[in-house]
Amino acid sequence: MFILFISLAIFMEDYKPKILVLSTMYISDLAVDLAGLQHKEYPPTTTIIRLPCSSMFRPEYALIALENGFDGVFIAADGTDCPFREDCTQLTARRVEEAMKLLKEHGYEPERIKMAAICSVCVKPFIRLINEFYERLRKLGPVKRR
Amino acid sequence: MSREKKRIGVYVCHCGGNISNYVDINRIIEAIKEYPGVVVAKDFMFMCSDAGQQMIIDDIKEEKLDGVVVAACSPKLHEMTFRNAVKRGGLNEYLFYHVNIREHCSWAHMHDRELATMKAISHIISGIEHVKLASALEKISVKAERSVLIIGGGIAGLRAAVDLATMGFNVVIVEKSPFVGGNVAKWWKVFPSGEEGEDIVMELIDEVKRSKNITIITNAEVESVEGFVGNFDVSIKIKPRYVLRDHPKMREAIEICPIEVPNEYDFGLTKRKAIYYPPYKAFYPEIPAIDDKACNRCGKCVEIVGDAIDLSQKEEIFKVRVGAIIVATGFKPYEPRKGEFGYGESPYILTLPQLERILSTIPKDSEKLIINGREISKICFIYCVGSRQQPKGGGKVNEYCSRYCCTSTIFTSLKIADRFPNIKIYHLYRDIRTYGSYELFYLEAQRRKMIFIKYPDDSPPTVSITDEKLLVKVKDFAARGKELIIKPDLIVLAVGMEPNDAEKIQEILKISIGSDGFLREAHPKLRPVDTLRAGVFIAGTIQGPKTISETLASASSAAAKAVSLLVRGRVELEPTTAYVDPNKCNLSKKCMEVCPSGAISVKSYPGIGERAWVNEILCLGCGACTAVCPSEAIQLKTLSTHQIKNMIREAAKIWVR
Amino acid sequence: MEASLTLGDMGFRVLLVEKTPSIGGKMALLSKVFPTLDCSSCIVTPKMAAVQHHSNIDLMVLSEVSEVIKRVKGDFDVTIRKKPTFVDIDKCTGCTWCEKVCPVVISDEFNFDLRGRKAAYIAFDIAVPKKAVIDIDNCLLCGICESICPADAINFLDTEKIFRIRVKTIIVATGYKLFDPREKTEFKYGKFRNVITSIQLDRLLAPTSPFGGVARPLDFKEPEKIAFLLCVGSRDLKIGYPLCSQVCCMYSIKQAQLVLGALPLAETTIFYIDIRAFGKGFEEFYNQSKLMGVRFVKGQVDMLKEKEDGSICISYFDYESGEMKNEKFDLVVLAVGFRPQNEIVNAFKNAKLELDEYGWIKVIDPNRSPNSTSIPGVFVAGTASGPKDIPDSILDANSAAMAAAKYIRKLERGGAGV
Ligand SMILES: Cc1cc2nc3c(=O)[nH]c(=O)nc-3n(C[C@H](O)[C@H](O)[C@H](O)COP(=O)(O)OP(=O)(O)OC[C@H]3O[C@@H](n4cnc5c(N)ncnc54)[C@H](O)[C@@H]3O)c2cc1C
Ligand SMILES: Cc1cc2nc3c(=O)[nH]c(=O)nc-3n(C[C@H](O)[C@H](O)[C@H](O)COP(=O)(O)OP(=O)(O)OC[C@H]3O[C@@H](n4cnc5c(N)ncnc54)[C@H](O)[C@@H]3O)c2cc1C
Ligand code: SF4
Ligand code: SF4
Ligand code: SF4
Ligand code: SF4
Repeated sequence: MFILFISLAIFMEDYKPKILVLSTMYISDLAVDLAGLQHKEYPPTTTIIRLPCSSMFRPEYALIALENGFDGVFIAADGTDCPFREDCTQLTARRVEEAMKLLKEHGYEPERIKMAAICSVCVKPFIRLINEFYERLRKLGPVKRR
Repeated sequence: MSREKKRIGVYVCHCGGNISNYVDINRIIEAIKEYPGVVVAKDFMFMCSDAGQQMIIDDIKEEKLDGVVVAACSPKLHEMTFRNAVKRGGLNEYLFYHVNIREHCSWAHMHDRELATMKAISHIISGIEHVKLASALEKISVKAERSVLIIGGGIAGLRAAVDLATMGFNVVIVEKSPFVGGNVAKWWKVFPSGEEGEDIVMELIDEVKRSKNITIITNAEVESVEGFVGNFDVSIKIKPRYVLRDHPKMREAIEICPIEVPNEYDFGLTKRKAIYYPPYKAFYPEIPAIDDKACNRCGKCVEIVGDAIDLSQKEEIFKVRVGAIIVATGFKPYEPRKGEFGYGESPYILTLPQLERILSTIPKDSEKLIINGREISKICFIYCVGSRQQPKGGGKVNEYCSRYCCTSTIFTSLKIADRFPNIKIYHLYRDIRTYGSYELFYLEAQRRKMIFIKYPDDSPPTVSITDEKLLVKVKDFAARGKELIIKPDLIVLAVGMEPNDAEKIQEILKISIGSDGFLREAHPKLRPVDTLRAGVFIAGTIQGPKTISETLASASSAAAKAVSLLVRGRVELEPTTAYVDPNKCNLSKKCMEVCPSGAISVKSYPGIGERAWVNEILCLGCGACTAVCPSEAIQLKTLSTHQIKNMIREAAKIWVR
Repeated sequence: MEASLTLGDMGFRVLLVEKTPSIGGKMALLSKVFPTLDCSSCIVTPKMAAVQHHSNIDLMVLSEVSEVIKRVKGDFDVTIRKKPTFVDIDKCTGCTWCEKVCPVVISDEFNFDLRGRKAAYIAFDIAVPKKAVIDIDNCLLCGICESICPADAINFLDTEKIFRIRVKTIIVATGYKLFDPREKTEFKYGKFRNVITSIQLDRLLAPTSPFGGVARPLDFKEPEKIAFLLCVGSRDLKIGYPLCSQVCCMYSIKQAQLVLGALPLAETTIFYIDIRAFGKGFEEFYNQSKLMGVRFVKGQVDMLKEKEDGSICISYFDYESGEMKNEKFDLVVLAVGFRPQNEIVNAFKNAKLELDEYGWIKVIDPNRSPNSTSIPGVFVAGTASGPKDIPDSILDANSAAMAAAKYIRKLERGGAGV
C-alpha cells in the first residue's frame, strides 16, 4: 500500500499535462507574446495556435485535441476587447458549452476545457489562469484514451 | 494540390541567441527534416536579415518550394517581412506561415530547454500542417476615399488637418467642444520659445481657414464608425450651438445672459455666461456658443440679436464616408482630489494650468503679482502631482511621468521671475526631467537662486492651512530626510496629464488602451502612430504625454501615414474572408445568425439554387460562421476548419511520442 | 530610413545617402531597447531590408554629400562622392570568404574597439547591403582576397565616383556621435581597462556580442559588481556642455536590467543626478528595475582608482547622507552622452545651415514645425537636431517626411521660390 502510494506520488510528480492553447491574433496572442517578452514562466507543455477570434472555436477541435495527445484545451478569448464583436464572450461560451457536452459524450471530463478572457496586456491573469488550469489537469490525471 | 504533394521549406531562426540559447535548434531540424512534405529544413542566425530573406528566395526558386514556414519571433514583428520575401521569391504570400518560437517558446521557458524545444517542434509542425492546405490567394483591392476624419481639434488635430489638406486630401475635423484650439491656447508663455500659446494656435487656425478642403464640425462627437479601412462610414452627432451667425450686438447679448456657471476654459477659476466665447483669442469658429445644459431658454439674448440665435435648434446627425481616421483627442490636466496637497481648501493653492490662466490675464503694467487679493512674494511649486504615483494596494494610479511638467514649471517660474524679480521661488521635486536642451532652463533657474528641494519618492510634502496661511513641510532628500518648513503665499501643483476620452474612443473605434490609460500604438518603435485597426491612427497627447513640438511631430507622422495609405485611391485588403461552398451548404442559416457584420446573405447559384453567400468586402474574417455551420460549408480562405483540425491533431502527436 | 520609407510610400522618389558601408545607424549596434526590451536588431533589420527593396528608394552607401547648391526655384543641386569600395556591389554575394582570408587585423569600429576586424570586411552580421568592402588604407594589396573571391567581385582599380543630381528637397538625418570620455580625465577611460562606455556594454549585451556575453575586457571575468555613471559628458559645465542627452538614463537602466538577466547574481548600481524616465512606459520601466534590485544612488562621482586586481574604487559624494563615500566595483560603465555629427553643414555652399550653440542642427521654429532648418526646403530628422530616443526619432522622421512632401507640393504649385 505504502509503495503503491509512493509510486503514485512519483508518477503524479512527473506527470506534465499537455495543453492546447487557442489564442486570438489581435488580442490574447499579444498577451502571450508579452508574457514571453517579460520572461514570465508558465508550463512549457503548451502548444499555441492562433485563431482570428475565439468565436471561431468549433467543438470538435477539443475532441480532436484530447483524442490525439493533449490533456486539456485553454481558450484565451478576447472578452470585451474583441475587435469583431461585442458578444464575443457569450458566443464563444456557447461553443465551449457544446464542446463540454461533446467531451462528456465521448467519455472525457468536461473540465478539460477552460475558457478565459485575456486582454492584450493581461499577462498576469494569463499566467495565473494557465497555471491553475495546469494544476487542475494534474489532479485529473492523464486522459484515458481508448 | 494535395496535402502530401507540397514541397515545403522550413526555416528556424536563432535570433542571435534569443532563440538558440534556450531551445535546441539542431534537434528541431532533426525532428522536422523527415516530416512529410518538408524538403528544406534550415536554421540561420537572423532570418529577418537580408541574407536570411535571400536564403528563402533562393530556395523557393531552386528547390521549387510551394510552401514556406518560418519559425522565429512573434508574427507581429516580422510576418510582413517574410511575406514580402516569399513574394519576391515568386511564391504566393499566403503559402507562407509564421510560427512563433521566441515570445512563445524560448523567452517564456528559459529554464526548460527540453520542453521548450518540444513546444517549438509542436508549433512548427502545426505551421507545416497549415501550409499543406493553404491555397494561393490574391489581395482584395477596394476603392478608398481620399479623405480623413480627425477626431479632436487641438494642435495635433489641426496640424494633421493642414498637412493632409496640403497633400490634396479632404479633411473633416470633429471637435467635442464648441471651439477648436485645444489646450495650448490656454497657456501663458510656452517653452522653449516663450511665445504665447494662443499665438501658436491662432496661426494654425489661420492655416486651416485658408485650406479649402477642411471641414470643421464643432460641438460634435463621433457616434459610430462602421466599415473598414478605405471606407469608414462615420456618423457624427452635432449638438445644437443655437448661435447661427455673428451679430454686431453679440457682446451685448452675452452681457445680458442672466446665467453664470464655472468657466471650464479657466479651469473653474472664473465664471462664464450660458452664452459665451472662450477667454482667449485663439478659437474657431468666431461666434459664441450657448451651453445647452446651463441655458434656461429665457430668450433674453434673442431679444438683442434676433434670428442670429435660434433656441429651437435641434441635435443633428451628420454622416460622412472617409478613408482613414486620426484620433487626436488630447489630454486633460489631472484634477487633484479635494484635500490633495490642500487643493480646493484654499484660494492660494492652484494647479499649474490654473496659474497659467491667471498669468495670461495679469495686466501688462502691474508691478506686483496679485492673486485672489493677495500679493504674492513666495511661491512653492510641488512637482509630480498626479504622476509617478506609487502603485500600492489596488486602486488605479498614474504610474507614468507626464513629461511636460518639469520643463513647463521651471519655464513658467523663470517667466514669473522675469516679470517679478522679487518673488522667491521654491521647487519641491523628485527628479528634474528637463531633458535635452531644456536643461538650460533648469540651469538658469539655479543661477537665479531659486531653491530646489528633492523630496523622497515615498514621502511627499504635506500642506496645512491655518487662517488662509499656508505651511508646507517637506523632507529634504539631500539632508538625510530632515524636515524643512516653508511658508509660501501660493502653492502651485504641477499636475500631470490624463488621456481625454480614451475609453469612449476605444468603444467606438475598437482600438486598445495601454495599462497607463492612453491609447496604444501598434508598436512603440516600428509603428508609433498606427493602431491595430487598419486605417486608424493616433496623434498627439492621446497616445502619451508630449510637448507641443513632439505633438506636432506625431501629428505630421500620422498625416504622413494616412497619405501613404490612401494616396493611390485604393487600399488592399487581406483576403482573410469567408466563402461558401454552395455544394455543401444546406441553408441552415446558422452562419447568418452569428455574423457580426451582416456579410452573409442568400444568393441563387446557377444550377444549384439558393445558398448562403459572403460579401467579402463586409466580411471581417472573424470565423464565427465557420464554427457553427453543420456541414462545414462556410470556411475562412486563410484558415479552414480542416486546416485547424490537422494542426491540432499533428501538434498533439508530438507530445505523446 | 524611416523618413525615406514614408516618402517612398507616399509615392515620391528618394535617394538615401549613407557614409558608412551599411545603413541602419546606431540602432543596428544596440542590444535590446527600452522600454519594451525587444531586440534592437529585430526592429531595424526589417526596416533596413524594406529600404533596400523599396521600389521608390535608391540607396548609396559609402557616399557623402559634398556640395549642395540651392537654386532660385527652391530646389537643389547636389554633388555626391562615392568612395571606392574595391568590390563590385552587383557581383558580391556577401559570402565573407575575402574576410576570412585577409591577413590584416585592425580594431573594429563597429564593436567600438572591443574586437579586431579585417581590412576586407562586411560591416556587421546583419548589414544591409550585405556586401564586402576593402579598407584600402589598411590593405596590404596582397591580392589573396582577389584570388579567392568566388564571384570575381574584387577590383583594386575602383576609384572615387562623383554624381551630380537635382533634388526638390533634402532631409538631413546624420545622427549623433558619442562623447569621447577621454575628455573627462578623472574617469580614466582608456587607462583603466575595466572602465568601459555604455555603447561597448551594449555591444557585449547584444546577440552579436564580440565576447559572446558580458565579461570584463581585462581578464574576461564575469563582473559581480557593476557601476553605471550617468551624465558622462552631459550636464557638465566643467567641460562646457550643459545639455542633457535624454537617453542615457534610460539606456543605463535598460543595461542594468539586461546585466541582471545575463548575470543574475551581479549587483548593479546607478550613480545619477536625476533619473529622467519621461517617455511612454519609462517610469514603469524604472520602477521595474528597482524591483529587480538595481540600486540607485544620487551622487557626484569624484575620482576613480584602479586596484591591483583590476577592480575600480569609486569615490563619490552621496547626496542622501551628505558624505563622501568609497566603493569598489568590478566594472564601471560610463553613460556617455551625445554629441552633434554636423560635418554635413560644410556641404551647403550658397545657403547657411545654421547650428545651435552646441553644434546641433538648429530647428528654427520648434513650436510650429519641428523639422524646419534655416534653409527652406532642408529638413532635419532624428538625432541630427538633438538627442532623441528611438520612438521620438521615428516620429521626427515621419514628420520630416511630411514636411518635405508638403514642400514638394508647394514647389509644384510654384509657390516656394526664393
Ligand atoms: C499647464 C500646461 C502647460 C504647458 N506648457 C507647454 C509649453 O510651454 N510648451 C510645450 O511644448 N508644451 C506645453 N504643454 C503641453 C501641451 O499643452 C500639449 O503638448 C498639447 O496641448 C497637446 O495637444 P493635443 O492636440 O494633443 O491635445 P489638446 O490640446 O488637449 O487638444 C485635444 C482636442 O480634442 C478635443 N476632444 C477631446 N475629446 C474629444 C472627443 N471625444 N471628440 C472630439 N473632440 C474631442 C478637445 O476638446 C481638444 O480640443 C503644457 C501643458 C500643460 C498642462
Ligand atoms: C549606448 C546606447 C544605447 C541606446 N539604447 C537605446 C534604447 O534602448 N532605446 C532607445 O529608444 N534608444 C536608445 N539609444 C538611442 C538611439 O541610438 C538613437 O535614438 C537612434 O540611433 C537615433 O537614430 P538616428 O537615425 O537619428 O541617428 P544614427 O543612428 O546616428 O544614424 C545616422 C546615420 O547617418 C549617417 N551619416 C552621418 N553623417 C553623414 C554624412 N555626412 N553623410 C551621409 N551619412 C551620414 C551615419 O553613418 C548613420 O548611419 C541608445 C543610444 C546609445 C548610445
Ligand atoms: S526573424 Fe525574428 S527571431 Fe529571427 S532574428 Fe529576426 S527578429 Fe529575431
Ligand atoms: S515631468 Fe517632472 S513633474 Fe512631470 S511627472 Fe515627470 S518628473 Fe514629475
Ligand atoms: S467570417 Fe465573420 S464576418 Fe465573415 S462571414 Fe463569417 S461570421 Fe461574418
Ligand atoms: S539622460 Fe540622464 S544620464 Fe543622460 S544626460 Fe540626461 S540626466 Fe544625464
